[in-house]
Amino acid sequence: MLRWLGAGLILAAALLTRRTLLETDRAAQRTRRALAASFETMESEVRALLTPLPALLRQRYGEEADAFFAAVTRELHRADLPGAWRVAAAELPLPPEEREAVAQMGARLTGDEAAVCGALSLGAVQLRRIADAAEAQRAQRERLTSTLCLGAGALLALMLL
Amino acid sequence: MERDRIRRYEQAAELLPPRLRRSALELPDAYKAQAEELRLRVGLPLTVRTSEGERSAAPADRDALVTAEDLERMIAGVTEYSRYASAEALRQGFLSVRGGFRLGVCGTAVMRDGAVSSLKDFSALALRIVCERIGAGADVAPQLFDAAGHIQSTLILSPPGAGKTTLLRDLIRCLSLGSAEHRALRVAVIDERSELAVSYRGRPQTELGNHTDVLDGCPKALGIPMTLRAMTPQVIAVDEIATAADIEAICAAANCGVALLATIHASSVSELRRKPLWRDLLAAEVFSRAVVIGCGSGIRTYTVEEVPCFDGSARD
Repeated sequence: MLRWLGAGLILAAALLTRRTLLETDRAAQRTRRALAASFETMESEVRALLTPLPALLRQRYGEEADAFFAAVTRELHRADLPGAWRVAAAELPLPPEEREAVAQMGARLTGDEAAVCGALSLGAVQLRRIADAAEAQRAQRERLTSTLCLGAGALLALMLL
Repeated sequence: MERDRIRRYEQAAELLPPRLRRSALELPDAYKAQAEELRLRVGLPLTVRTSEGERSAAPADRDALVTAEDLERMIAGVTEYSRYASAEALRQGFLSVRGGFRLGVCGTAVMRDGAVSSLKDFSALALRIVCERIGAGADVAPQLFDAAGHIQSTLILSPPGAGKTTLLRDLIRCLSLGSAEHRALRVAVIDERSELAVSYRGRPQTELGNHTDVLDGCPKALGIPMTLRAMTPQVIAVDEIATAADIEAICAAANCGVALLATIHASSVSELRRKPLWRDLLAAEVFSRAVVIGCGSGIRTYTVEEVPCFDGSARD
């Protein structure tokens, strides 16, 4: 009886792990899309209306992007904009190399219109490209994650039994 | 009053980069109270300007010298990393800063089509501690009305640095608020260099009264007809008339029945008569009053005079 219970728990853990991994993947994808869209909106606002950055950071773009800009605004009390941007980028639910790409944008937000627009535009393009590539591989990645999690869970359960 | 001036100085010092801020805040209170400007020049120590001159606010060691990065950091800070939003003001060499301060900027001019399009490679900054003297014009304002209670177009005259803008600002406030004897007037302020309202992101940061409309950053010659059409003011106030186009716009407004308040660099009405441009202004007979600011023994005095007709005869 105890063995059956242990095998059941192992399978449940495998399912939970699978779900967590897939959710992390989806959260990263939502963040990429939200940030890319917000950077594009910000760039067009700077170009067309010369809206100052603090006002742009206060606007609403969607949950994932708003959390990032709220973190930037919070950090601005302690650091300059490149520093605040870097600290906020470190909290993003993205892989390290993508967090670093977003962090580096901050150094180009110097106040010059061309530099700000260039940084926002480049950031949006990079994130959208990564998001598109991730989307194309999503089905395959989800299958792989499911196979690994459930296979390992089943193997462990069988060994226990 | 002194406490207030010290507080303003300390607010201004907060805008400096941290390492310069510390030395600026270490100055004695007596000096802070007299400070009119903080000046930063690349390769030189931070200085504080008072009516008696400039004094270094930092030790003369190498670490205390202002660097180009200090200026860049300060401009980034006061523009909130959005220099592009202040490009037009920066083109004219100044920035209005949150808190009612004004930052004069010097550097290399970027020329485009024969005009300055921007500034780069900043070499010097002057942080003006805009000083409001609420009540400075309280005794002068009633003297700007004639016996029938009509506001008269008035020139404010003094040499540079004597307080024309400060007096004009308070006169605007007095006229806009009104008094027991005179009802409140609609005042339009054409604030070409943002010195009167010190507007920041479109909002005036000085007290200009409840019936005042501010057109910020617009040349006087363009702004006067604009506000005349759009805001139907009873009084138009402008700082530092300087060009023939300004005078032409002022004359046109006066012909529409609007009273004008304006400042000019001159120590007296007779000095105006000696300068060709101002002779044209006097010949138009727009202004019937002049407030002459005196600065004898450190105390400012305001003398309201009647401007005689151009041919020298007294007004009716």
